[in-house]
Amino acid sequence: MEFLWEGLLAITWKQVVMYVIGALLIFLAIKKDYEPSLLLPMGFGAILVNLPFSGVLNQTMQGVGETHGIIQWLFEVGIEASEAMPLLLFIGIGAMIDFGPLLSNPRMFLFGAAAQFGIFLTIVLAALLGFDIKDAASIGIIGAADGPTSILVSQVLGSNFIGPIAVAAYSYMALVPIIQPVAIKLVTTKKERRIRMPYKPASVTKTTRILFPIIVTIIAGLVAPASVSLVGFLMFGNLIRECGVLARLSETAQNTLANLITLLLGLTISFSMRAEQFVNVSTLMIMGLGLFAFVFDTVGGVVFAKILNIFSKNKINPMVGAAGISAFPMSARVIEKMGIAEDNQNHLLMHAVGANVSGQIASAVAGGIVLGFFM
Amino acid sequence: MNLFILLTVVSENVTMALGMMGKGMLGIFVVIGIIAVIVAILIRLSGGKKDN
Repeated sequence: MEFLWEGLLAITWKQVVMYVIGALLIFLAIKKDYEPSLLLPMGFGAILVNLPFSGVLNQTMQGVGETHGIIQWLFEVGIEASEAMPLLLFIGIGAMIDFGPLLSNPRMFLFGAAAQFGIFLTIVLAALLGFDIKDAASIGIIGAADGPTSILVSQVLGSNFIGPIAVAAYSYMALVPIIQPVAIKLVTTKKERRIRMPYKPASVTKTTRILFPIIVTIIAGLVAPASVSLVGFLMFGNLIRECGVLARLSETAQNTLANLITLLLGLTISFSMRAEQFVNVSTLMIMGLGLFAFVFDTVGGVVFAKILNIFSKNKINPMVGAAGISAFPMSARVIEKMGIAEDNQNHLLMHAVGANVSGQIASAVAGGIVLGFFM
Repeated sequence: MNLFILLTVVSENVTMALGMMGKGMLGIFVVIGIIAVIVAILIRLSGGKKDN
């Protein structure tokens, strides 16, 4: 009868902590609607991989030898071997994004770049705290506000902290409506938040929309070759969307492909949430550093807008700069809401969407540039 | 002695991280800036036409 108790007796306190974390992620996904498509599979996966002798992980059995576990296999094939999952998800994301608001107002491109500042400042802080430079770079990429980029960069750099990094990236993306207003109010005055920006978009031809993903891929590839896989797959998805002759593929990429990969990605990432790897002081530090990255991304975008205002005749509402982080479309919605709260006639949504989609490109470029430092 | 080695490694990492910050932000602005200029030129060349 001993075999009935074997599992129960093998539970460690660290595994109990992981059950609590798993339950918390499931709670946040269901009750608070925080990135449910990722946090729910990750939460459930955290419980799955931390059950003693879990069949979802490779195990060595007496008289049988090694058995293969599905989550470990998915991780080894889908992330470790080729980073296929995050990259394929990028095709779906590219197919979902309408770059129209950005193309019709190219000034917004700059905010996508400025709002990556938190990434690099966090790398410096992580290095100061004693993290190895590759781990520091992986932690900094939480500031890309883009789950697949964070997973890919930390995997390529061989970081031991993929689990905490993925949890931090997706958790803080969900918390953008809470984090950004606080950070923005810290660095802006009421007067600045009330600056109105009339929306006069230039018309965008279909040719421009088709040329755009090709041009972005070539430029990013030439200047930052390591970003080609990220930017290239994102832009390939967008080309499918804009070409006008692949409607079925575009729809498949936006829905079936993106949903399928998302479904598996959360479960797969939970492989890196095994108790012995996850429950330590470093995880707490990474969660703190992730928050720091999001705050300083926001501050970077806002301050850059304020600097532009010194030289510009047409003033920019500095809050739009904060939308340059990649968390799309939450960040743009936050800026619209804040604009209306200050002045109910001040609609900033289309400007913010432009900056927000620029952040999607800039965060992928940032990921590639960080990888390039180690090539 | 161990503390000295630790401080040296941390200091090297911080120096490298600061270098990454400078070069990284410059790299992002160069890539995004070039794209923005090309898009602005394309929009100007299309002269307000809209064929979609």
